[in-house]
Amino acid sequence: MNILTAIIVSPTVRFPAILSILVAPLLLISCSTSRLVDQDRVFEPGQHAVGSLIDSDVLLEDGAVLQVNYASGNRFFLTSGSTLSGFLKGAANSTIYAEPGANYPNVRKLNSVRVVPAEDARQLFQDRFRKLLPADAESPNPGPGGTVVVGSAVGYGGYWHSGRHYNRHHHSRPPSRSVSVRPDSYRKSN
Amino acid sequence: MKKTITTAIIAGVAFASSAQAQLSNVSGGLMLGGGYLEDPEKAYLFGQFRGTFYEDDAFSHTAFLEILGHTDDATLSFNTPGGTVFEDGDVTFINITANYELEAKLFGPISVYAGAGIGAEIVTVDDRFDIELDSDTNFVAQVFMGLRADFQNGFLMQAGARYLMREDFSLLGDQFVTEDSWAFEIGVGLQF
Repeated sequence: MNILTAIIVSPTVRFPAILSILVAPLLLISCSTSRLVDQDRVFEPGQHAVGSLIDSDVLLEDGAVLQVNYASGNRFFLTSGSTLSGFLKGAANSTIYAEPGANYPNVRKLNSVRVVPAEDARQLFQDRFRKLLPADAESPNPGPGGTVVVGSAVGYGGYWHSGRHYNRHHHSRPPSRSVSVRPDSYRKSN
Repeated sequence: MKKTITTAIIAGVAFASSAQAQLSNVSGGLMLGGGYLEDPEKAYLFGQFRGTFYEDDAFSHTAFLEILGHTDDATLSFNTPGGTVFEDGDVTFINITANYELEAKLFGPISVYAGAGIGAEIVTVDDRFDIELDSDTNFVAQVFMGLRADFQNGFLMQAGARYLMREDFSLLGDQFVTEDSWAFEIGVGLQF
């Protein structure tokens, strides 16, 4: 990807025409580009990816690099040493849980993207569906160095749809279990 | 009272002395194998770390630590504000048991073995990223028997059956039923 940028910004760099035809597809192939919609994904150490994400949870392991073109309704879990870059086409309603040492864009000008400091992004990603806010929870914002409760972003009628912080007005019923399992070979007891 | 204590001490020393003589026949071994569990109709693998603490021409007494495992596919349901999302998951069962085995030699290298063991079964559920979502630990017991071929070079082969008794397990707030079940298996090992 860096080589491609160099070609664009340096018009004085010239390649033989045949070489350009051969190199360009290889450069495109080397960066995986995808669109993630309503999926969860773990980017392994050293993995580089480019794409747009909608309504997805993403964990970036140490050394993983994710360039996001457009993001909406996502939760990014960044371990130390991982890199989240981009938002070239905008971002909305997303939260970045970042360990110290994680790299992420400056989101000050993006009102609906917030950065929440995290001690263990991997654990938060693991617990992302298990913890729910209590009925009267405040919108959490622990500030720098604080530990984050994942349930603050799971939301119940407030976060995912409106993009605002947790809206307790919609939380009129008691929270139910967020995840259950059904093994293929074992039945539940009555 | 003093006479009783003295008698007990003498008996203990005598037992320890005889045990010491028997313990000089201690040998170790490893066994690996697999089998099929009738309920829930799943294949499994096992490994044994064996120690034979007494052996003569007719019998041998062995204690071993066994790790047995099998998996089951599962469906995870995530309740999100946008609806229920289903994903594939895995449930893994790991049995760790301490066992005693009595082996009686029949003819040539062929012998029959039987024994029992107790331990714990660790049940875990993972999502499609192999991230553990929950786990449970329960009691497990087993009895087993089979035929074994013990070759001169220390190589072992066996075929047998076991009856596994497992407690029900609980994952993510739900209780699941396990049935006591027969299993049939084969194994190969090395005695040293």
